[in-house]
This record gives sequence, structure tokens and C-alpha cells, in this order.
Amino acid sequence: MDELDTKILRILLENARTPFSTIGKKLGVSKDLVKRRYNRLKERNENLKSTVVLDFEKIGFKLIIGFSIKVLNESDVPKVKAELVKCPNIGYLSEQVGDFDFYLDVYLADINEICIIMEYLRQIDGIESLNPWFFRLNPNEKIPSLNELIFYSIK
Amino acid sequence: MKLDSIDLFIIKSLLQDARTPLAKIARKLGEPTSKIHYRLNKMHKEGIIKGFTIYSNPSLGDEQTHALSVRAKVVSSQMEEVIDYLNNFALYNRSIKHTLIPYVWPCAGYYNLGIYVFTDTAIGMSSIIQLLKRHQGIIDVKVGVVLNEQWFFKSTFFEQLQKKVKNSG
Repeated sequence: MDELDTKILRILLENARTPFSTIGKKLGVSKDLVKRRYNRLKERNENLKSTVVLDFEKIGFKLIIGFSIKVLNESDVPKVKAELVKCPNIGYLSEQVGDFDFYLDVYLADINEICIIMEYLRQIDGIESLNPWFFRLNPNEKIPSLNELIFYSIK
Repeated sequence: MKLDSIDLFIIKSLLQDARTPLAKIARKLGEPTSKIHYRLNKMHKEGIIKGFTIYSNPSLGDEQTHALSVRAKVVSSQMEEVIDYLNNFALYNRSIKHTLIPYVWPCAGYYNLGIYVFTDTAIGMSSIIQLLKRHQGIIDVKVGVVLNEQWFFKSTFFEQLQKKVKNSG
């Protein structure tokens, strides 16, 4: 990935529906070059996706619960991950190294859904602690993403 | 705004691929493109749709740059001061280079503050952890280096939207 790729992705991070012609004009390159680079990025990274960002409250979610999960043994990480991805109402899952092994976000429309989530998580073998914490959805709050590493030039 | 099956189909298509041409969505629905444009703009205006973005599972990020996911326990009376300190981190700590704190969010629980840190040096990583642990308003800190992440937009969010449309009749 070179500087042009990063600049293209930076524009698409802000608005993924930006026409290639607009991106081309902004970066001083042809629309065809932008299209080729974007397609190349997608070919090289099949996980690169674009999506619509919805207002979670307007679609009915009221609350996010985050879980900072610690596993019992390192060897449990793959099997715990396989179960966590099936968690009801899962929004986000990251694998970490340090004080916790996973961070999981679940989105709730109803406070009673907590019982379903907790029941599911408690039956997963290999988890030492769940460490839940609650935050209300703020439509203006950005949810952080490792993806944005691409776009912060901190050198 | 009451959503119907047309709106759901538009959202489902765009959750799958935000760059889907509206003409393509219109053809699949057997509707004029202008109607799809109108519905999309309406959902945008009503705030149901906030925008369009890209993401990757796992991250495309530069291998040298790391994200730290930090949970902190903050003295309640000092929460505002701590958040201000973290939001202006670069200003207060000019000697620590190549480290950014893009997100800080308060929450409820034993750890009542979430902090996301980007850094590309080991010194930056240990400096930020030490600073957090030494801050008088912060009682406890737990840190994880993020290895990879996954988003579940298409399943969870779309299912919720379907439920909402069904319940509103």
C-alpha cells in the first residue's frame, strides 16, 4: 500500500460513496487510476468492505455493553473466540494481548436482553472473567476502530 | 420516520456494499431510481443513515502502529478533568512523540473510562501507560494491545432493523 492508496482510503473512510471522479480530482489523478487502485486494494484484501453507518438509537438500540474478557489459559483463546463470534447482538470483537484477551461489544434494544447475553457468555468454557461495563449510545460518539490506524499520520 | 420493506432492502444492500449503485438497487426492486434516491436522502435527513465508511476485518493498518485499548477507573469527581487531560494529551505532553489519543469515552462499571491510544513506538506505549497510572485522578488502569478486530454490521444491525420495522406494523 503506497501514499496514493492511503489517500484514497482516507477519503473513503469519511464517505465510502465518494465517486472515483471526485477522488481523482481531489488527488490530481485520473478517475480510472483511482478505480484501479481501489479494485487492487480489494483484491489484495478480501476483507476490505464498505458499509452504511446507521444511527444505532434510531434503529432501536439503547445501550452498548462492553466486555473486557480474560481467558483461563492462552490455549483457550481460539476456542473462546469461536464461541464469542456467535454471541447474540454482537457488534464488535477484538483480540488483544495484555491485561485482557478480548474486547466484545454487544448492542441492546432492551435492558432485558442483558440476561440472554450473560447466559450465553457464562456457558462458554475457558473464560476467567467478563468485566462488563455499560455505556449509553451517543449518536455523536465515534466508535474507535483499529482501521483508523491507516489514517493517522503520527510521524 | 416509518421504514418499510423498500427502505430495508436499500439498507441491506448498502450494509453489504456502500458503493452499490442506486440504479442497481432500483432494478432489483422494480422501482424507479429516483424513488431510491428519494428514500436514501430521506433516511439520511431523518438521521437513520449517518454516512458511509470502509472497514476491514482484520485491519489494513501499518504493522508498526499499534492501538492500545485501555480501561481506567477514575475518581468520579475528577472525571471531567481527566477527560480534558486526555483530549488535550498532545498539548500537555509535548515530549511524547508519535502517540495519539483519538477517543475517550466515559461509561458505567468498575472501569468507568475507555481510552483508545495509537502509538508507533515502544517508548510511546510505555510512556502513556505510566502517565495514566501516575495521574492523580486515575485509580486503576488495564491495558490491552489490539491485535485484530471484527465488525458485525450486517448481521446484528440489520436483524435489529427488521425487528423494528416488524414491530411498528
